Amino acid sequence: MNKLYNFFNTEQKNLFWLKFFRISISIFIIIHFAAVLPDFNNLYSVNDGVLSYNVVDVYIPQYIINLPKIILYLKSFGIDSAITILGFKIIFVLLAFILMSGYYQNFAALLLLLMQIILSKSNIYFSYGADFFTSMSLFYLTLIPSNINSVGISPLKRLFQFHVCIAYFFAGFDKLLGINWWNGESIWKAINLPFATSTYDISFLGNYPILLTSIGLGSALLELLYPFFVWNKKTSNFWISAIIVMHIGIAFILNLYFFSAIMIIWNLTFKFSFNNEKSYSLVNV
Amino acid sequence: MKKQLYFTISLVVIFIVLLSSIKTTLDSYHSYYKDTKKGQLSAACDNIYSFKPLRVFTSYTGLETGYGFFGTNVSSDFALSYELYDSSKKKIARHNFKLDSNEGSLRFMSMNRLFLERLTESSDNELFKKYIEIVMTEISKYIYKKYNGKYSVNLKVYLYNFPSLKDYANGKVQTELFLLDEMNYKR
Repeated sequence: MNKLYNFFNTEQKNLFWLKFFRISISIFIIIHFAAVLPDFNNLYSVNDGVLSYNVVDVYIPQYIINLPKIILYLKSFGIDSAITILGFKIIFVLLAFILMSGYYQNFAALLLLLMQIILSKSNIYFSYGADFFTSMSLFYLTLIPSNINSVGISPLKRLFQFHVCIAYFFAGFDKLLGINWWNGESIWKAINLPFATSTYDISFLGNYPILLTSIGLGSALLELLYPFFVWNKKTSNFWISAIIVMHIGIAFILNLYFFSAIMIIWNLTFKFSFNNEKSYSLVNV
Repeated sequence: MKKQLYFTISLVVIFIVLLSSIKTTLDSYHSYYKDTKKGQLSAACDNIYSFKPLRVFTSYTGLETGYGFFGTNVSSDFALSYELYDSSKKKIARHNFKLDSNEGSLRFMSMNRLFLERLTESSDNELFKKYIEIVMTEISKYIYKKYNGKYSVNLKVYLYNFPSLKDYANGKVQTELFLLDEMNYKR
């Protein structure tokens, strides 16, 4: 236990990784939010969207605060839903900019986390992986002190590092449990999903089942073995780069740009979190 | 003292991340292999996970998610299309259902898990069938309003079935669309 305790409490000499994480996550949140603006009402309003809120409401626990609940509450005071939505959008973007600036990092992240949860829990059917990773990122930015002298930096940095490793281990493990990741069928199915690429015709890959099997198994193994290779100085850079290449592939082939982007941010943060020597040149960015 | 507190917080969060990962892995495994017999580990995970303060905490931090990323299996997907008819029942147009932005459409497609449940749910679950019907009505109503109520709407949900790698090698290259549900809407 002592060894583990010491491992969680090592000396920290720079916070570049945290600054990188804070700024890139803030930019990511602003762009991701802007991307959904044309459909904001379609997805998150009470009665003007694709699904009325009372249809979705049955699956939302009472303890969840979301945008439709706020709209309905403020309506009882005579505040129009359009004003509530506009106010929400302005506060959301403003908080993202404040977080990016680093001003009261923890408090800004906490408020933005609350706003992000309010939005993503507005309709349980319309949220996906990128939303959960956004919430978790903001949770870390709420928790991790921004002061280099804080004793909280080291253990919380380790927590983040462990989290990334657990996520990839299970991503690989879950895939290998399914028979279709062993014969190329899963990767074939994934690249031919209706939301996958329509820009590039990659159906010719169907003529090379061995290649598809290799890509599928390779991805699963890359993820499964992530925790075993990223801690080693000799293999760390290669492994993280390979995972980033995999996410770039996912972005362009499956059209999951935002999910891939946030996973790349997590990987780069993970990589930078090892470089906390004083000599690190980007320390004062 | 502070050091120990942060250390403890870190270990607790690692435990929660592990718990979510193991739980979603087991759920995914049982669902894929149609294994209804849940073992002790599954039951223990479910029990801990149903502890309300933990549910609240994971809901407000995003830690409730699993990390399968297309594992154990890439699930089937669905395609929605609609036809518009004028008052003399003449077909005016046919479109695939899309929202105004790529991100909006991608989010909308996350709802397809509902149709997947419709396929896997026991056929005698009348309540769930009724729920799907309401969802279909809502989507149809949205399309109807989009065209200012000028046309009646015939909404169709198809199971999207791209040929398997094996079938593709045997020359089958066409995607099959199996009609799962249909809804006619006119106010």
